[in-house]
Amino acid sequence: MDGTWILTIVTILLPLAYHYDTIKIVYGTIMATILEKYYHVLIADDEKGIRDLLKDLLEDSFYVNTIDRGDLIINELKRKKYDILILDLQMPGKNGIEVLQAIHNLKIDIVVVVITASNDVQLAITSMKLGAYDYLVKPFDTDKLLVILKNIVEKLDLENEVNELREKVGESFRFKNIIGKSPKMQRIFATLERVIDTDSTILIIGESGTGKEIVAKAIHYNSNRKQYPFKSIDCSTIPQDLIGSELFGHEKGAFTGAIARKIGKFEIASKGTLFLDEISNLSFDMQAKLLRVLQEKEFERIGGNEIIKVDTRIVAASNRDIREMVKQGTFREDLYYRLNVMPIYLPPLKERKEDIPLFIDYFLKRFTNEYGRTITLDLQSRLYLTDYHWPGNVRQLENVIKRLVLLSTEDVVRLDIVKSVLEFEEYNKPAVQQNVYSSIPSTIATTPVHESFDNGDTVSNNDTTLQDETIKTLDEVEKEYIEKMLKQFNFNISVTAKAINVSRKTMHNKLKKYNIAIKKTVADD
Amino acid sequence: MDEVDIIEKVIRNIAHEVRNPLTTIRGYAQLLTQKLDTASIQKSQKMIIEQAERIDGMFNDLYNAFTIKEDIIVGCLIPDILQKALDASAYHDYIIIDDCDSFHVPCYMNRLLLCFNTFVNGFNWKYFPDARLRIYVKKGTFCTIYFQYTNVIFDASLENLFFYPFQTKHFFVKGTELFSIYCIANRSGWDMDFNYSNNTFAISIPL
Repeated sequence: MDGTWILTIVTILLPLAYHYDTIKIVYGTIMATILEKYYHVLIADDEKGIRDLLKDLLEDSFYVNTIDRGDLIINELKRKKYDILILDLQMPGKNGIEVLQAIHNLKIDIVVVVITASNDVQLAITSMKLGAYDYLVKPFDTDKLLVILKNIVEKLDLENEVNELREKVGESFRFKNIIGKSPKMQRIFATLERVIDTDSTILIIGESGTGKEIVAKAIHYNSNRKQYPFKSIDCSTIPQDLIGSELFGHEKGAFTGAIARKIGKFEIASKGTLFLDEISNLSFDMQAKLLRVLQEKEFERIGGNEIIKVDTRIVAASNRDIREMVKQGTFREDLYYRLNVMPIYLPPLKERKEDIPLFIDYFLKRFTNEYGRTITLDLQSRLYLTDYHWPGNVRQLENVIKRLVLLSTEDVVRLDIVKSVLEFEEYNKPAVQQNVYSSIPSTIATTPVHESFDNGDTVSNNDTTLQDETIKTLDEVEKEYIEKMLKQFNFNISVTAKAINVSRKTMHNKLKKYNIAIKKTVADD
Repeated sequence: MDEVDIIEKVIRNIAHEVRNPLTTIRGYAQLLTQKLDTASIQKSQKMIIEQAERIDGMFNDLYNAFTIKEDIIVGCLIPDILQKALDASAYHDYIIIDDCDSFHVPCYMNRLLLCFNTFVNGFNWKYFPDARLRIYVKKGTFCTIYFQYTNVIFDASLENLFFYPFQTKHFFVKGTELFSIYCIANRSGWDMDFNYSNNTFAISIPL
C-alpha cells in the first residue's frame, strides 16, 4: 500500500480516536433526543426479576433507576428529581402504603403507579386515597403498564406546557420587566412588594390607559398565588343584568337562557386573583353581593342553594374617585372600605416623563418587529413626544408609535410626521369632554382627560357637560382628516387607506360620501 | 388457631408470592415480541427459565417443610447442640449464649439441631448487619429455649408469622424456614411461639 494512504487514514482516525468519548456522548444525546427520553422513573420493588423486567421494558423511553428497599425510597426522591414512581406495596424496611403516606405528607411532586401481588380491594382504595395514579395487580400485562405510563407522560407534558406558559406570562409581569423607572412608579412597586404575598384587597386608581390591568397582573404573577388563575372582568362593558352571572355563575334554568350551569369568575379564580376593572360601574345591588363574598368568602350561584367557599384575592380598579361616589351615595361605603385596604394611585404619563423614552423604545421595538420595519425617531421627535401631555396615557403613546411605524416612508421619523400624527390624535378627541377627574385628588387628576374613541373605555357620569357648542360634527372631522392624510400621501388612496387602517373599498366609499376630489400628481392607484 | 385458618393463610401467602415470578415470566414473554435483537432474546429466555426454576424452588421448599425426616428421641444436652449450630455459623460473633444450664432433655436431636440452625444460620445477617441474637434457656415443666433478636423489627402486621412463609423472606434467607421449623416442632410435640413485644422465638420441649 502506498505510504500516503496510510498517512491519510492515520490523519483521519487519530483525531476520531482522540474524540471517541465526545462522539459517544454526542451519540448518546442524539439517541436520547430521538427516543424522546425526558422523564425519570424510579422502580421500587424488592423482586430483582421485576426490577430487571421493568428496566428492560422502559429504559428505551425513560431514564430508569431501581431501588429494592422501602425505607430508602424517600431519601432517593429527596436526592434526585423523579417524575414517576412504580411502587411495590410489599417491601422490606417500609411498606408501600407508608411510602405513599410519606410522599403525601412531604408533598413530593411525583406520579405513583402501585404494583402489588395482593388483590385486596381495600389496599387499592387506600393507595388511591393517598394519591396513587393507578394500581396494577401482579402478574400484570406490560402493555397495560405502558398505556398507563403513556397517559402519565401526556399529563406531565401538559402540566409542563402549562407551567412554561405560566412562567412566560409571569415573567413579562415581573416588576423588573414593567416599564416604570420614575420615582413614582418605583414607590408603587416598593409598596406592592410589601403586600404582594398577603391576601389583602388592592384598589388601583388611575386614569384610562395608565396600565391598571398590567399592575393587577403584576400583583398576581409576583404573588404566591401565581400558579393559580388570574381572571379579569370589566364591569363597564358587561350589562348589569349579566354581571352577576359572570361573577358568581348560575345554575341550569336559573333564568331564561340559562341552558347549562355556568361557573363564575370568582369560582374559576379561587386561590388565584380576580381583577375587577372599572368597579365604580357596579350596580348597588351587585355591590352588596360583592361585599358578602369579600366578608364571608362564600356565595351561591344564581338560582342555586349550594354555598361555595372561595379563596380569591380581589384587585379592583377604577378611573373615578370612589370616595366622591361614596359621598354622593352611588357607591357603598362599607364596600369602599373593604376594597380600599391597599390603595394604589397610578400616576398619569405626564407625571412620569422619565418613563416616556423607555415606553417609546419599547413600543418602537415591538411594532418594528411586528411589521418587519426598521424605523427610528430623530432627536427632535423624541423630545417632542417626551414633552407631550399624553391625555390618553400609555395607551395613547402606544397607538401613536404604532401609527408612526406604519405611516413612516423613511427609516428615520421626522418631527413633522410626529406632529401630524399627534394632530390626528387631537382630531380624534371626543366631541363631548368628560370631566370625570374633577373629584380625584390633585396627585392623579391635574387636567381633564380626553378619552380616545378607540380605547374601549366608557365612563358614564352625570356631570358631563357640553363644553363647546360650536364643535365640528364627526363627519366634518372625518372628512378633514381624510383630506389631510390624502394630501400627506400625495393622494395615493391605497397608502392612505393602509395608514388610517381602513380597506381600499371603505376609503373609496368615504371619498364618495364626502365628495373629496383626488388631486393626483403620480398615477399609482 | 385451627388448621383451616392456618391452611388459608399459607395458601394465600403462596398465591401472593408466586405472582412475582409469574409477572417476570409474563413480562419477558411480552418483551420477546418487542425486542428482537439477540441479546434481548437471550436475556428474556434466561429470565423466564430463572423465574420458572424459582417457582419450582418455592414449591420444593414448601414440600420439604411438610416432609419431616425420621429421627429418634435421645437425651440431648442443649448447650452442646447450640454449640454445634454456632460452630457451623459464619456469624457466631453476633450471637450470645446466655444463662444455659447443662442438663439432659429427651427429644429428637437432629430435628432440634435443624431448628437451632435456622435461627443461627438461616437469619439474613447480610441484610441486617446490626442485628444480634441472644439465646437463653429456662427449665420448668418444659425446657424452653429462647432466641431473642435485637436491632431488628419483625413485621407486626402479620398475625402469626410462621404461616406467611414468603413474607418473612427478608428476615430469613428463603422465607420458608420458619414455616418449616414450625412443622417440625408441631410433629415432634413441641410448642413454638413468637413474642412480638421482645422479638423472641421460643421452642418449648415437655420434660
